Amino acid sequence: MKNIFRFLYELIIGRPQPPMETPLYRGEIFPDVGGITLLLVTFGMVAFYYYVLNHLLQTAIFSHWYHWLGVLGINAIIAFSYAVYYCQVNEATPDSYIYWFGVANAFYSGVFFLLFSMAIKWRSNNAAKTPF
Amino acid sequence: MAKLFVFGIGGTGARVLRSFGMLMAAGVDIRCDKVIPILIDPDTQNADLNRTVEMLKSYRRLHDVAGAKSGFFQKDISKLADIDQAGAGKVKDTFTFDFGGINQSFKEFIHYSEMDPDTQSLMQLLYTEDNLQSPLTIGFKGSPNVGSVVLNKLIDSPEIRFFADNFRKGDRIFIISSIFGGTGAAGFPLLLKNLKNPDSGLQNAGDISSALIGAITVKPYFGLQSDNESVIDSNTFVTKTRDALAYYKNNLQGLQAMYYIADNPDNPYENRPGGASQKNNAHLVELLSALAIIDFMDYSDADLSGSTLYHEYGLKEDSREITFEHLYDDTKQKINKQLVQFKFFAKYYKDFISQDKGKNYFKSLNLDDAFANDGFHKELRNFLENKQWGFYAWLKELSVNSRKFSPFNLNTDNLNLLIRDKPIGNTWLKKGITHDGFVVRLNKEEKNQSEETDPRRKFLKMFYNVTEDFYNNKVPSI
Repeated sequence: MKNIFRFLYELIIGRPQPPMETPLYRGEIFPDVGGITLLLVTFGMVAFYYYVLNHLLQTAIFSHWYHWLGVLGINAIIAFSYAVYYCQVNEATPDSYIYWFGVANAFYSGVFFLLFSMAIKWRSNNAAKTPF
Repeated sequence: MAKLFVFGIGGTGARVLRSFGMLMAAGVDIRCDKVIPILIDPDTQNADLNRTVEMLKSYRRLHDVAGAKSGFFQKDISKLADIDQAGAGKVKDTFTFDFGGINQSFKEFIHYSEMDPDTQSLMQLLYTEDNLQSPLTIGFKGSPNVGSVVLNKLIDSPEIRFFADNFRKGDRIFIISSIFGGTGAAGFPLLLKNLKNPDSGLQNAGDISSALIGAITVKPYFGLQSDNESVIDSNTFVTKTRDALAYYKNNLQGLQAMYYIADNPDNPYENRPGGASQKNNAHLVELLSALAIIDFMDYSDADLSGSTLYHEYGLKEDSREITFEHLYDDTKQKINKQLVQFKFFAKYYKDFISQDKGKNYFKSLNLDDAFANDGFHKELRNFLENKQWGFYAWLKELSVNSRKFSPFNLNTDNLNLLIRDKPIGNTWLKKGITHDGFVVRLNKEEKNQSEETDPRRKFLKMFYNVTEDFYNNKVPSI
């Protein structure tokens, strides 16, 4: 799993900067942030959208694509914020890499949000066809 | 179960069949496999007749899609030509009886000029000059003495022969007519006499003569405005009714069930003797008359084996404006649920469904494309909204006629107020019927109907089940 997150993040933002912090990013930040935001939080948000908002609540007012996009956007903000916060908590050098990491995490949160949506939406009562 | 042949004679026959078609569209149950309406009226331009024919044609197309298990439009209403198993095409492919365009006067029809002077004198005694000169193309203008001569030829027609060829033991016959006009008053006893004659020369004459036959004869329920130019005077309706009843008393043989209905005439119609201008608003009496057909089919063969059963209709409570509350339980059980369901469906289809783009069920059924290109939806919209003969027009006509039948609020957009005098409670604890609630139920139902492969049938079933759920769980008992 560590290698997957490392591959994903470094594919977009390159190797960690400054180079001396590479072990910190690869060993702790990438897997922790990726695991929590891309897997746990994103899955939770997708489940919340499809099975709370559009199933348990007995309303169909949130079933449009733009509602789905809104939840995806909130999830991306969470992903960005948590990535930056986690870097700061772990005393990573405060330079632009932290923010590029946040942006990459937000981007991947969108990708994972889409993938999880495709995987679990079919049982949702009101949003099985959202976003398409 | 067997077939039911329904003969609708004259303008009243056509109007009763219009109401019958609406009840069938709503899914009211009738115990037979197939209903075959045969409209008998020489006045082919009659607007009431043509409105009914258009409605029945539309119903037929919708039933072809809906099938027997979609709830709405589920009963097979066929044309006479449709039951032609040999496919010989002996009769016209229409719901109406083909009189072959009798574009001649009654005088010409009876070959008056070829009669000897004594017979001509007798004719002048029996018929007024207006009777003799009257063109038959617009019917018999309230003159049963004319109709009884012309319609006597009915038995020799290809339609009756074709009907006889396809009649099977166990099939039933129902005849609708009015007693105070021309065509119905003349046609009913003639038709019955011929059907009951085992030596009529028709194929299966034995089975036909022993068939179970019911009939409704509609007594006066509307009046006509006085018009010196018109030959029809509604002041004679009661006299004509009394005379006809006296005739029926001694001459109607072989009926298993006879239904009578009438109403106090009020708010007279325009005096139109026939043709395209004869377009009367739908009336409660016609709707209740249509129930006689359903009631007749509810009886088992054993129930109808004794002497003739006579029925008259009565309201639970007299009022000039009738709602469901004014009907007895027997009537309510037959029509309330189905009419309420169909009304909810029609209302949603007309005013709400276009707002559901993006909703789950809407996308699953690809309704955006279906509304634009699928003939089924064009037909359905036509059936519901056609201004001449559609469901909404029918409800509107019933609600403005006198006496009024207005079980629904036709001008509200609030689904909880749709049933007149029976608002559906909408509280925090128990929600009523909302647009959003409708969508949620439709989404759920769309998933429940996953085994139905035809999207149009699925669409009807979904709405039927959802409206049934609303009726059972949300609508207060009516």
